[in-house]
Amino acid sequence: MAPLSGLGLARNADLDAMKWTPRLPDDAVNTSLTRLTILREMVWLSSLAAGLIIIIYVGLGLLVDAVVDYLPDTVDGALERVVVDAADFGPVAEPTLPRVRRWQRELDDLAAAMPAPAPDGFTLHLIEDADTVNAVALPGGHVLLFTGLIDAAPGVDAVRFVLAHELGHFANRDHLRGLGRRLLLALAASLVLGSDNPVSPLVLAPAELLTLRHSRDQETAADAYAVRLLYRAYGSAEGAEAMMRTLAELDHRGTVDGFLSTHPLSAARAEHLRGLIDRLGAEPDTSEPAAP
Amino acid sequence: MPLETLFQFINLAFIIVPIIIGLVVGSLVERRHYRSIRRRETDTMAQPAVPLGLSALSGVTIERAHLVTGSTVVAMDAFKAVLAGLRFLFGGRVGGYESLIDRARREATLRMKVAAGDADAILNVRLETFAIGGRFGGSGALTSVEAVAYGTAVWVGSGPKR
Repeated sequence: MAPLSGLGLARNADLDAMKWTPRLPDDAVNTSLTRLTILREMVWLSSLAAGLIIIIYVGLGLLVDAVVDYLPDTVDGALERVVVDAADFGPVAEPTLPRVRRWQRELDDLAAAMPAPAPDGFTLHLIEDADTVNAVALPGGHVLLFTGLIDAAPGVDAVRFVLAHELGHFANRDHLRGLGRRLLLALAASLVLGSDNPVSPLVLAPAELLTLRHSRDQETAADAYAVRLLYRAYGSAEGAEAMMRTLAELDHRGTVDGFLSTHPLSAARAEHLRGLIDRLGAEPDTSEPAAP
Repeated sequence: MPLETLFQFINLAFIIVPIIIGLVVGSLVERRHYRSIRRRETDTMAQPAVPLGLSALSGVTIERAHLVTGSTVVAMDAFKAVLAGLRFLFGGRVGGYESLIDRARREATLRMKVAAGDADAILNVRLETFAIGGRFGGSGALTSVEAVAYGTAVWVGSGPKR
């Protein structure tokens, strides 16, 4: 390959002398990011996105909290059709079985003692899962009770406390609040990042912690409601503390999965309940100091 | 550790690990590619490849001419995909894509020169870029780019022609 002396602009005689000169492309012209700036850009942009999501989440969250108490019961019914399927949680015991009917009766007794009784009542679903110590309140007045909780409970009083606690969630509309929060989180992320952006889960995971924090306050409120309800129905709430002590023990052995992750630490909760029980009168059998 | 938390961590790992791999391996691959591109550009510097047509040549006879093409496909990494995803939200230069396309075009030009062999020049050079693949991890972002360089390779005779 000989150097091409003839390369030039032939049509213009004046430019005929213009020669082609070999030259390397400039590296920096068409690329704007170096390895350092690309990292800085990533940090900057992801913090911006996270900030946006938090602003939307907190803003809409306040809105949900403001609205949820005024929602008509029909919303509950509508959500029931959308989200509830007890079978998702495990095998559901046949409702005609005597032990299911028995806990349904306990639930009905407690519901009858509620200061503002629900017109449609509550349905108990017994989930045949001996490994899960848990109970769940779902829209539409559905209470899921896991057999593992009944096995672990130190007595009937203790299970009654759990049922009363779930009724407390209904009374405080926490089941709607919880769904609302989670829905909002997904909504905020998809608003900011697009529905199936690979970044979304990155932002959602830390934001879930906010939801957990929120639900701890709800649990404390439901506990207080449960103690009051037990007093109204049975004149005693000793089962509450017994249940919490048992849960705290199970927690110590690391056997409780779902229940505790969203709930306050059971030992602290037991102390708090003790204080509540003492304050509400009746016969305290220990002399533990009352929690504030 | 509760099983649910474990699953959440695994879920998170599935997203974070590709991003880190993309950052570390991706930038390593890019640096190596650029080194190779620069070396070959220096080696083939003497062969003109210009967007001008026949008008670029004066006073020579063309003995032989034919079409030469060079093309390459360069994939982006997960890090760049995420960065671009964020850019689509806030706007601005998508820096992650810039180096990708720059590499693809220069590589395609080099391959076109290989295809041209010992041609005296390549005239009428054109560069085109195409997006290949639609989605990365369901993001709707670009997966890879193809760059095509094509032109007319010419061999000139020794005798001047008027």
